[in-house]
Amino acid sequence: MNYFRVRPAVAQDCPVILCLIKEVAACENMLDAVKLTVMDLHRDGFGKNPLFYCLIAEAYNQQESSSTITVGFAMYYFTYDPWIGKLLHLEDFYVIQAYRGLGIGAEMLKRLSQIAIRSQCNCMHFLVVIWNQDSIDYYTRRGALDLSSEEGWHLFKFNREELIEMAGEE
Amino acid sequence: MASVRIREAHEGDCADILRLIRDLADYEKLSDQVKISEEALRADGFGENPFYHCVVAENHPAPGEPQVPLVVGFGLYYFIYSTWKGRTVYLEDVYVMPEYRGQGIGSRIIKVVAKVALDKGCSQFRLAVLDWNKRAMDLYKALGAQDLTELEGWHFFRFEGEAMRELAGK
Repeated sequence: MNYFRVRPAVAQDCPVILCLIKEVAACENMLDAVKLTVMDLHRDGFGKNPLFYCLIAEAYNQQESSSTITVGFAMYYFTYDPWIGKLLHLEDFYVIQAYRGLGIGAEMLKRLSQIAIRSQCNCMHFLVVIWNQDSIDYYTRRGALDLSSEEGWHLFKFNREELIEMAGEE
Repeated sequence: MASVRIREAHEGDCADILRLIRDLADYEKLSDQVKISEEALRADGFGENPFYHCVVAENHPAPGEPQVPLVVGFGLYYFIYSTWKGRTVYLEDVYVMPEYRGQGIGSRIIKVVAKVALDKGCSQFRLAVLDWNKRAMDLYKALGAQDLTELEGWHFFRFEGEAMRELAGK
């Protein structure tokens, strides 16, 4: 029987977090898009004013129960809706293939929801690609609402080139 | 001649910011969803670890005119984190009072936030727009933004209320 635990990430987890981020990107054929380094994660997640927080999922080694391997992570941060205040935004959520179906994802979602409630957040937001049907089903089965379909929200992005152009004009 | 200045908001602007938040909600036909108070805006934006940042557009009357400066627009933003690109600015709300539109104030607010994004080492700037708000969509596209919902299928999802409490195991 597999045992696992979910815990808050610490600074020493940065290399394994980056590893998992790259694994997710590789699954989507987007490995080149990952520009983050271990140093960035360290500075931005474990300094004085963190820009993100992480949960780590670890499985206990069946042969040697004192050692663990990292099998998943969730990255989140707090955002602000001027109508209702603080929200928790789930930026990334991943369990490695071999460890799916064991309730690790559900446990991470449970912990995230508890964190959201404890932090006085009114809700938890996240982005999903609409043709990722497995993910859509996973979340809607658990009560998530698709705000883009229901209310018409579109996500827009400016890249660095546009930022430089805009900033140069003000 | 009257002129509009874009500046960083201070705590004393919260009453005006709330006024404009309510105006924007009316414009989006979602007024009954504004639950935030002036006290919450003050605590959340001007405490030790702010959850948001704000710039305001202030109309200064011409010399000799009796009116006092009036806050006629705002941009509310915060920092988020992309697992691929790192630090990112998210523009949550931008709004200009109807009688002050058509003067490029909205664009100026966006450009000021773009400069903040670059100064803080952000490589991108994200925002959300409602699909029926064609005017806003056209403005952002004209400034070089891409609609990721249309191009890549990204949808906003939300867990709230009962669904979130159930996930938390409550």
